Amino acid sequence: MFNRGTCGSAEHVSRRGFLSGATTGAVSALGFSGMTKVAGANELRSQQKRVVLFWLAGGVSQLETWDPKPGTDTGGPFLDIPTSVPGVNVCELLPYTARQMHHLAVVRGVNTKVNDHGKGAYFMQTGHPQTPGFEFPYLGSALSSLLVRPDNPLPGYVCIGGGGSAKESSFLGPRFVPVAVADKPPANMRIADGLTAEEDARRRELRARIGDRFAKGRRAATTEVYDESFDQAAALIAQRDVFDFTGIPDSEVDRYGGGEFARHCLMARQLVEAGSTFTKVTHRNYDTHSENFNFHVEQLGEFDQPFATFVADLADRGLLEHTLVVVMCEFGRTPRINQKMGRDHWGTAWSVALGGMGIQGGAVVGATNANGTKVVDREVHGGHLFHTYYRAVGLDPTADFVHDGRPFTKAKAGSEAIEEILA
Amino acid sequence: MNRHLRSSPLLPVLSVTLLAFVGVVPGVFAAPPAVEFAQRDLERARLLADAANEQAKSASQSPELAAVAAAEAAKKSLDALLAKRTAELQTTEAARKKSASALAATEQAAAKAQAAVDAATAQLTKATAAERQAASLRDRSRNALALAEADLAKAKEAKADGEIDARELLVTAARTQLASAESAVAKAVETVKRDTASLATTKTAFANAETQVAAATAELGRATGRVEAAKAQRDEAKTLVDQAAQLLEKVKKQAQPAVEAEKAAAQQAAKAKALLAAATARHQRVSEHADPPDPKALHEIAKYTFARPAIAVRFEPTGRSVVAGVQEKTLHRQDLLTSERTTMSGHRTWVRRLALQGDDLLVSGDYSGGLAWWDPSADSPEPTRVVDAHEGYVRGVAVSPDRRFVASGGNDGFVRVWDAGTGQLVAEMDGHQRLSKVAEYADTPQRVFVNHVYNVAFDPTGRYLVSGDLVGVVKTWEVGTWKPVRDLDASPLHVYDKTFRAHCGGIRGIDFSPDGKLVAVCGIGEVTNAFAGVGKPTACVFDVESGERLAVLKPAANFQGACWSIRFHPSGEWLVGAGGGGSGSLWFWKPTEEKSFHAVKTPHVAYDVDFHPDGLRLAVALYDKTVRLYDLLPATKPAPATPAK
Repeated sequence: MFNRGTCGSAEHVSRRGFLSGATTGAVSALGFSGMTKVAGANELRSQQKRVVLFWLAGGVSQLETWDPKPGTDTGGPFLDIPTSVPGVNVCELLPYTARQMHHLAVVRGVNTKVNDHGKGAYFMQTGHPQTPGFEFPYLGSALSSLLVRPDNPLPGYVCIGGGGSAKESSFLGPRFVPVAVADKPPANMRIADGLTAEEDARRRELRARIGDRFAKGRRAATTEVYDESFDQAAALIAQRDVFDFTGIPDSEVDRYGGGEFARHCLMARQLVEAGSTFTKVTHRNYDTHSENFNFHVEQLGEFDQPFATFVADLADRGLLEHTLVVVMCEFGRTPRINQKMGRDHWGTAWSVALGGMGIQGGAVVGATNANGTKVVDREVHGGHLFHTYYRAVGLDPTADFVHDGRPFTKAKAGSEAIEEILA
Repeated sequence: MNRHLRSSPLLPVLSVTLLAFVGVVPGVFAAPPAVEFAQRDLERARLLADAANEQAKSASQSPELAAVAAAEAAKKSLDALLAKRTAELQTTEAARKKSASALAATEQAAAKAQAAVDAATAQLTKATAAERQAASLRDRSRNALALAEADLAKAKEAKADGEIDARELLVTAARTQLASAESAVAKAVETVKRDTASLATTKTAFANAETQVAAATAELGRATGRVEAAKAQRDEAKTLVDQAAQLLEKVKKQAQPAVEAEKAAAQQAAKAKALLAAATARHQRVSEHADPPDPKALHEIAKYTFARPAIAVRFEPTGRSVVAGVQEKTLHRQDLLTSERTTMSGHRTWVRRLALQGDDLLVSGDYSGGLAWWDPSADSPEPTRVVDAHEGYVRGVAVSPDRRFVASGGNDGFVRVWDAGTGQLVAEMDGHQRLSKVAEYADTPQRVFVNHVYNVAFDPTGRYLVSGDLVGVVKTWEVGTWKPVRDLDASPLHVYDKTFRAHCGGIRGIDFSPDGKLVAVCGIGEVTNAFAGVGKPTACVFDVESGERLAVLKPAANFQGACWSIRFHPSGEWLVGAGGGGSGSLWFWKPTEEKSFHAVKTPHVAYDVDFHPDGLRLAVALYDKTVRLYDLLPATKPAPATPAK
């Protein structure tokens, strides 16, 4: 079926959107109680572990990226090129990324056995095959719930280039629902027109006094959460510049190769620099059932330079060692070239790239056969990858989530981390 | 040395049919009539058949084969000798056997004679003893008589009467006794005499038998000697036969290639004969066929199979072969007459487009930006020049009719013109590239968009170069100045798919009418889903001078897919488009009629199509890893109408 896999439409996020977790959830992970307690940005920057997920929606072709097979019946017209890692070649459509391969590891033996956008996206982002009636938390929600420092006022899970679904946080609750950001800063992030900072502070002081009087003798979790929502809002407003991307200079966009995706990578960089925990950058339209090669020229032409520049920038700024970078999608594309010069859905033998925190740059694990129709070495699936992400950021993937007294495994049973690429 | 015998300069017979067939435009290359190509094929088939016959003849006369024949004859005569010697041996062996039995018989007879001698000897011994006994009795009887007579005499002297009588009686008795004894002696003597004679007889017989045995023994010895001699001769013959057999084997081994060559040459001759018959028949049919080619007669006549899907196909202007680009880095030249295939290596990856002009210039463009020059008439064509022409793919290649220029267009949005003779860059046009920044085509200001040049073509008069791009813009350039003349609006061949945020379409095929007045471009129109390739095969036809779009062509039937290639029939009367989506098809259009007047289903999606310069055949490159040859000449001559009664 021709079925588009994106995580939904990008919409401007509102302050209400940001705060939905605190206002409606029973649990708040935010342990601060006022803007006075907001940690300094510098401290945050040095301590917060971060993850950036590049989601190539629709399913990028592994043959046109990480696992080229030039000259074979399935290889397509493109050649392969050497990279900064001797002996590791990638497709010629990734010339910029090739120069950053020493920061990246490639897993070439992914077999999820899933050829459906929805099921593939689910498996790759939850670490579990889809089962009806239950939703595991998505990677962004799961990792941010475990990694967000209590003093970090920023939303744990931010989406660029496409919004996420509220379902993604599952039992982790609204606090870890993905929050979409776009080029423009979120609405209602500024102090109401006509108010000065002092007047606003006085307003909040008044609210706090009234609230304290109300709370006296009837302090409860719900009132705390309610209070915290105001605190978080205040903290967020104090950090609002994090979400104001209007300051990104055109020269930087040009340096990133220009265009929307370059801008999105710069937005991600800004979030990473500010200490935002989990950022998902979606690059859409890889579902190339027709004219796979033409569209991959264009898609990867958009992706390559911004992505590679982003990785290089993070490395230059000393941020890569605190940031796990993952490039994945719902599945790869068929080795068989169809009659429309396209490639179809293919979960049987494809690749995922990752790098940064906890990952051994330049490592390649797993292999497919000569024309890429089968994994012949170190076969892994979404579960193995999930274990690997957890381990890379220093978390124990075998410690279950506990919800309502019930344990939930973090990734598909029977899988373990891909040790070969862990630093 | 060229693979083909060069044909005579093209001297088209400008018959009335030809004039009607191709039209005559000053300065426009006029293809020779179909019959000329059939004639050329016939001549070539004849030459090939002659050469093959000569080859077969000479192959059958090779010294190696003669040596085999001589060795075979030698062996045959030695085989006969051996047979003769073997028969002789058998005869002598039979004779020896006979002699042996004769010897045995004589030996038996001799033994018998020996026994007779022994018996006679015993008899004689016995008789001699009896004689001696009888003589002894006689002597004793004689003594007894003498005693009795003495006693009688004494008695008489004594006159003892009583005693005389008695004594007389005793004397009488003694006399009787003596008589009897004497008779016995005589009888015994007789017996001895008889037995002595008998012994002598047996001894003589034995001596005779002995003589016979000796004679038979000697005869057996001689017979055995004859057998030995015959055996030796037979063995000698056998050795000779073995030697001859070894020699034959050796000679045969040495002659193996010659034998195979002879076989191959014979097969080749048979094939050449069949080709000649076919070419003769085709020549006759083409000569007799006066009607203009009709797409409705189209039928497949040959299928060439490759390892990968075929994506580009062009005939050599000589009409001798078809060159195919498939999903691999090698090109293939397929001889139409002989079906011989030659692999052409030199590109780094798939070849997207082929352009041929004249009988010795082919330029091909690949997916990694490379152009390669070839002499397609060479025995084993190799690139004579390679040029890195574009960033990304070369999507279009064309050679000007005067063979001075090669034009290319590619993914980098540029059209470049090269000196065909030196490979030097002559001109670079960025007209399409500049459209990348035009808001109408750049989908959002945030998105980087590079317009791709999809194809290029020179018009047959040599005045214009046209180039078409992804966004449906066809630019006309003046050859020489390389200045833009006008743009043609082929926007039906482009859609910006808002869902997938992608441009879809592109000018995939371009072709001019033979008189250069019309240009047709093709691709996919009405795209509703860019990534699934859902749209309609579409072509646009323009008036070159005015730039007016005369028609937007589509299949008459509802069909989803793309029109990958389009060609004007050399008559200029109609066009063929090749393409497909779920399945493949050829569509036939009149230049200004929007709906196809005919369509033919192909076995799979068709990526390219080209007309043979004879205007009767067309080659189609297909996804099913084949290039198929179709014929417009009716398959069989219609049966003569039966006169009505």
